[in-house]
Amino acid sequence: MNALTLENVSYTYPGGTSPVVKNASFGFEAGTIYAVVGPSGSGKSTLLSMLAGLDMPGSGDVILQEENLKSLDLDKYRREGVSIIFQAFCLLPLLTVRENVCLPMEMQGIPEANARERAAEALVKVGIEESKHKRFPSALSGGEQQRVAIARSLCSGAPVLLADEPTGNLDGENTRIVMDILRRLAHEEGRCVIVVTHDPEVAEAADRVLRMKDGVLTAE
Amino acid sequence: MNASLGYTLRHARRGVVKSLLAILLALLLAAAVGRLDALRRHYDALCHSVEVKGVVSGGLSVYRAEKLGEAEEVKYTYLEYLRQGAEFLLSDDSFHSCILCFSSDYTVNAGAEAEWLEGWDQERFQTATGKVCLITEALAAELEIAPGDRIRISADTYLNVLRQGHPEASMEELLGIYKEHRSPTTVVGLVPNENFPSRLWLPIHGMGVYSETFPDLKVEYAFYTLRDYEDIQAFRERFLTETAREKGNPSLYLDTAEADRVHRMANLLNTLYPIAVGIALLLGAVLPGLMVLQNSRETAILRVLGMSRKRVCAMLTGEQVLLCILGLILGVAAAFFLGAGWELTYPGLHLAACLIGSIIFAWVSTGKDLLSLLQAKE
Repeated sequence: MNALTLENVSYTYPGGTSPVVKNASFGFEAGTIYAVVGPSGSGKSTLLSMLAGLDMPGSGDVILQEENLKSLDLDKYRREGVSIIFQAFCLLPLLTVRENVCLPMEMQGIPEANARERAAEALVKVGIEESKHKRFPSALSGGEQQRVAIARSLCSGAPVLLADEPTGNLDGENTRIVMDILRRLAHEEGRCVIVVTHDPEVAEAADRVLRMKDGVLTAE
Repeated sequence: MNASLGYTLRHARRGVVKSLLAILLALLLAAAVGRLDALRRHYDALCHSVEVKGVVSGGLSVYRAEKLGEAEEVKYTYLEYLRQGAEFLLSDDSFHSCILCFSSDYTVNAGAEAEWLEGWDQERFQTATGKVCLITEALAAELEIAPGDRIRISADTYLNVLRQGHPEASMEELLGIYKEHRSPTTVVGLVPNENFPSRLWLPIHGMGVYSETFPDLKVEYAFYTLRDYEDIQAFRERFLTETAREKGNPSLYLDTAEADRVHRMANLLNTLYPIAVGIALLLGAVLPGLMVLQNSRETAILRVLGMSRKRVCAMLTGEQVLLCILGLILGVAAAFFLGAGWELTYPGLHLAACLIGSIIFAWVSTGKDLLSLLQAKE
């Protein structure tokens, strides 16, 4: 069973004449890390938006495990089905590192003590030492902030992890660290990791590479 | 719900500057509108509680004036001691018994058209300074006076002032001193007033005559102010009590021009108040909304993490309403200490405006394209 499946997915922006994503079909498997590459304007972000449940396909279906996105509550889908990591980290600036990681679990109704315990484990797993758990994101380096964002995704328990240029703001060393973590999440924890990137080094680290060109998704 | 509440409280507590700004905004608006409302109400009360006739005196004696207070909005009137004046006037047969009326609005208070001396008219009478007078036709006939005649008015008004400078002098001595200083007054018109046959009108501006005639005497005016409004009420009650014993029902009169200023100010405040409230409510709705919009990126993060649009809206609105309530409580307290009462209409409207503004802006904020907000660099 695929973790996430695209079936003839197309999308045209309101008022647009031609689709930015054309009949995309692909099955994303659990335990695999995918890289989606392509030039700017090729439709990568639109595809990501649909995978993340931020937009609904104009036609076709997005299927999470066996459930069609159309029949799912989108908020619940984003809360429990997929998790997203952004280039700009997107941590809440007024919450501490630990509170940021706990938030998705609090939203799922997980008791606070449990959430804290799991957040601490996830943070240690991504290499954020305990002394930094009570700091605010602005006190951390870019690499550390991205690792906190990954820990947050980890704690959401979502089977699919989407990453939009996750290493775009990081130096070489931090890029390697982040990619190692993402690989571990895929290979050791069985998550389906989909990375949208321009970086060939990141693409090379993926198990499979998908290419977007003029709205057409092709597997290499 | 706990996550939402916890996040809202943490956000409000840790975003100290924005929270303080929101509180300060509500505080200042509530205090300013409250103060303006209080001022408006005081002016309204003043306009409706003080009799304004344009006549300074119903009669006789400026014996003593009291200084009640000082402020920017100063009006003046003269404290009339009718009883003392009447007693003095009637105790001496050498005086002809008549009532002096000081008037700046002759037509209204004389109640009749005067027959003016050739070359004289009402306007000149009103702007004169005490060297002219009008008398009733009956009084003129009795005293054999015609327009153009010059008479010497030995009114207790002047004699009492003079007495303050010569407390031991007899009446004859006082009259002697008076005649040395006081020049005759020209009769410039006759008034056919049968209801009050023994009246004589002098221009209101005659007050300056005191200092002109008796430069060594200090004539004080009675001042009252809006700020001393309570004192004014007490003053008015005391005045009525003390002066009503002998002479009907004399009132506290205001100079017409000064009273007009009070009315103009009341009208201005009554016009400005709804405009000020409208502007304040607009600010009360828009500024919290702008603060909500400022948090668009955080809003987008919460939405991507799976929080529903309604819940995010409720959180954003809740935070602004909470801060608004704190500000309004402080603002109402501040307004109270600035002289306003516990008036809760405006704070209620402000809270409603804040609620509506926050909901609208929160809905707009949560409807933005999440991906573009989150892809932007911080």
